[in-house]
Amino acid sequence: MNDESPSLLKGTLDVMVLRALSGEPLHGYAVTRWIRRRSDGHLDVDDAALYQALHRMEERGWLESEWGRSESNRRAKFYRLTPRGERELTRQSRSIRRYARALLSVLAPEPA
Amino acid sequence: MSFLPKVRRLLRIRERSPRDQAARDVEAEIAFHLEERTDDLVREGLPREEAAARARAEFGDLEAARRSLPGRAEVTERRRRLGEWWDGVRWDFRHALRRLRKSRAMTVTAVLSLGLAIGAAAAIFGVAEPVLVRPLPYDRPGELYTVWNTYPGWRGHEVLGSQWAHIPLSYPEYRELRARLVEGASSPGRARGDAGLAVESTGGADAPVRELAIFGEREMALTGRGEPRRVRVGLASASLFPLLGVEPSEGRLLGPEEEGAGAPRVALLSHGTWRDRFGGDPEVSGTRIRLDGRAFTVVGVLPPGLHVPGTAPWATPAPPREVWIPVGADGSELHPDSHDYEAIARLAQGRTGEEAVAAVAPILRGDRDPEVRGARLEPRVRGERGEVRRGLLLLLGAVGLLLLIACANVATLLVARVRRGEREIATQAALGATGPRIARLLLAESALVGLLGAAAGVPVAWAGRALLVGLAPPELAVAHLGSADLRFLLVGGALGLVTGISFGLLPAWTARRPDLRAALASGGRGVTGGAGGGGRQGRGRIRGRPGLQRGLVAFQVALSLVLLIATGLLARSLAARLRVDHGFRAEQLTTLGLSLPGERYPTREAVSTGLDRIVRELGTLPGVGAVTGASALPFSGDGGSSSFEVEGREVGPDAKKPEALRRAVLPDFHRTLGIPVLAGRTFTAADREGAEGVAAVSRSMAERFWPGGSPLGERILWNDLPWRVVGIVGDVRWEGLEEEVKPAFYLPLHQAPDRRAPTLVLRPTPGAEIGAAAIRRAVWRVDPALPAEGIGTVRALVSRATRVSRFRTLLVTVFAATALVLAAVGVFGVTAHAVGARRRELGIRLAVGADRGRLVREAVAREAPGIGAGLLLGLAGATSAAGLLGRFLFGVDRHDPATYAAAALLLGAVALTASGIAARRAARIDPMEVIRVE
Repeated sequence: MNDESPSLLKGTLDVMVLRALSGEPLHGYAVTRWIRRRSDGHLDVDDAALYQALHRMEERGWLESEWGRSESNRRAKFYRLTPRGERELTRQSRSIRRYARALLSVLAPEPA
Repeated sequence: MSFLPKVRRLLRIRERSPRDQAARDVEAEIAFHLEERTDDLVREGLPREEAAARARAEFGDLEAARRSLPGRAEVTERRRRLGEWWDGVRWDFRHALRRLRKSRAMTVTAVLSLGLAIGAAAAIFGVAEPVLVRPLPYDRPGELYTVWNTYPGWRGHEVLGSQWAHIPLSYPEYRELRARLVEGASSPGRARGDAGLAVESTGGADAPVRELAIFGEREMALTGRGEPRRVRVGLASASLFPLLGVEPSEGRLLGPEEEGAGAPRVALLSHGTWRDRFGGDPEVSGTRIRLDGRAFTVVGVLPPGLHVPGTAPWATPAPPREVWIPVGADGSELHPDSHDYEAIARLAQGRTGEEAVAAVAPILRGDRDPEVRGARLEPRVRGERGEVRRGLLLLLGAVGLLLLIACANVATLLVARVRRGEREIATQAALGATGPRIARLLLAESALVGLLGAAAGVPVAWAGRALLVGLAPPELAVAHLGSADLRFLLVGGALGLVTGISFGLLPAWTARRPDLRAALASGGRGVTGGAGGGGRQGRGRIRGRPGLQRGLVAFQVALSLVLLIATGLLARSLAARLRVDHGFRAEQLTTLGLSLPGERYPTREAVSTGLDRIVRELGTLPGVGAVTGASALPFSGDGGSSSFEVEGREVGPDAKKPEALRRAVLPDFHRTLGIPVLAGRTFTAADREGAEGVAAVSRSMAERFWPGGSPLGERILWNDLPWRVVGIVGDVRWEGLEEEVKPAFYLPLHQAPDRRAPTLVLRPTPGAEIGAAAIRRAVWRVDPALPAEGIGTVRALVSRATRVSRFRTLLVTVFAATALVLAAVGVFGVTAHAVGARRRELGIRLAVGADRGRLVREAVAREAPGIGAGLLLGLAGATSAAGLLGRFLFGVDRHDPATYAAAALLLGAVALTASGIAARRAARIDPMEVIRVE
């Protein structure tokens, strides 16, 4: 694991996974790659935690899965957002954005 | 085609358990991740060994993931499967609907067949359920028993033999029983009994009978409220309603002392009478009504639905009584020999009928020989529901047969469908559908037919039930049994599903192992042979053999024949009943119920004088040829029997006294009713109080008690008085068409003690009619305060005697007619299909000059063996089932060959005609077209 990457804020893994899956269906490894690439390598997801999240969200009906073939022609389990998952993505990203804005304004230097 | 993969996935049958599947999936998912990561690392330049170790390390807690993930995955997997299954079911039903829509004629036929049968079944069930299933509306009905005297010496007696075990109690007998068994128990000794100590006595604390009550019935004139009319009045001991556990719905019940000689003139109204005739007035208590001219005070209203029917084997079903008064309040003498009251005992908890008999019999027997007198207890439930129950069981049997026929019909049609649709099925099989999967498709189809049938049955059920309740004679007491609720619709729906699915199993079974290649190769023409039930030729077929269809047709024909034969037997019984010589002529006779109230006609002389004046006044009416009357008319349900002695013949104290029907009649009664006078004379105006007591006896009474001799001039003793026999008259079936002729003796009404409430009979002069209004005015000219209602005809009495059996016959006839139609439809469908399947062959044969008529005859001939087998089966079935009809048959043997033959001929003719029509229609083929299509 990369020591320099910031530790993930609690509760943000789900929304990132949902975002990763908002395009085409991806398998778990592709999700980690997607997050790493989008964060310019700053965020590194704990793989075990990622699969917990995928299965949990599938159980909740946010995701559904299907077995297919990867680019390397291996059998892989692809995840896809359900309509409920899409709604969840919208809801969570909105609240995180609001949180981030608030956090940033708290952290901003006092205006002189 | 985009639906192919979906079909294939839907059709996948063998699967791992969800748990195994989930564990495998998790393992594969993790392995894939590690492999991909390893590959990436190798690409970045790491040696493979090292890369694999690094990937594993990066993954984090691998073991924890392996432990926790499968649980979640299993839940997801189960849900996915459920969803897929549900999708499958929906797909099945959509598909089934499409298939059904494609063959609309077949669907409509099947749905209507089922709807008819299900509707009928649900309607009958709606009426039958309260009778068959619901308990009696009393508190703990299982403890209630009817108590009878038995006269074992009567066994085998030609007149009384049928009654020996069901002699009602007299009021003194009831008092005695109750005093020794019930009131004895409420003495201070009771506490010991409750503590479980055995007490050695028939009564006392250990008595097996906790309470005892009696009730009787008589018809009385109700006046003082609306139109005067005759009502059926119940006579109750004070203990009756508490024993039944009945609470008054208004006012009170009878007080403990309100019974017996000198009982207060109080009355309870039935709920229906209170509602309909007293406007449901909550202040009804205290209202005065008049019964037979005596004033009674209404003290309460009974709860709705209370019905305490008589349960003697010869009791005819009757609607609930309208008014109840205390035993004795009607003024009848409560003589120890007047066995007029049915007794009900409530047994103490846990006590048996045998124990109760052991306690009751010694008291009723007294010091008489056990061969002479005894007692008998019968569960109330059996008695009260017996008659109606038997009738309804007959109907349920008929309706069950009808349902089976409809099912067979649907199955026949569905099997035909399977055979026609076999190419489609083969296609699905080729796509990977397994046998069970195809069976499921077909089941969905038949379940759908069943549900649609149930839906079609709903209006049939509603209408049928309303019709049944409306048409049923009041004696069947159907209407008051409570209204239908949702339950009987549920029953209909359940019937639809069950019949649909169970009869869909048959076609599904035939399709379970399709011979794919052959079916596809034959291009869906499928059947080229199919003759004679062999089915060797058509190798390309799914196993829906014509043999199976013909078996179904035979089954249907057999069941229909059973119904037809039952109908035939019932109809012949009805005809026989209507033909019975009842011993009198009913033509044109008008009746008028009278009762002369005690206040204005206090003495017997006053009654006689009053009666004479009314008779004379009626006789002056234009168009009246003769006026007479009697204490009771034939078939009216009134009148009873009396014991008598022949003067000069010693009867031992223990021997049975002879018994015969007793009627008090006015002069000319016999002549007016067309009862022949065989010897001597009947009564004249001179046979009055004060003159010598005279009697006329019936032929059977003369033959029985004076065998070889003549009773004329002899004297009989009745009511402690001698009566000289002056005439012999013909026999009359007093108690009903189906009853044996019983000995009877007649007394002059003006000499008999009970002359207060006779029924008058008026015979019109030829061609004349007597109007009810004229009769009423004539009566009122004599006494304006006299109720002159109850005007009817003797013919109505006779017709009432047969209306239950007419109703029964009508219902079964409706069922049989429906069965006949269904059977015809079934045969039609099978023939049409069999011919249709051979279109190609027939077309070719027509093209080379075959005779169309001959082809049709051939087709019909192919169906004939199935129909014949069905007829034989039906004859056998009817022969063995006819016993169940036994009670309802009259004057016809249950194996009556003529009925059997006629029913079989009719059904055979209908079936062959249906087959012929179907074949003719199907054979209307243009040979060129057929050949071109090939």
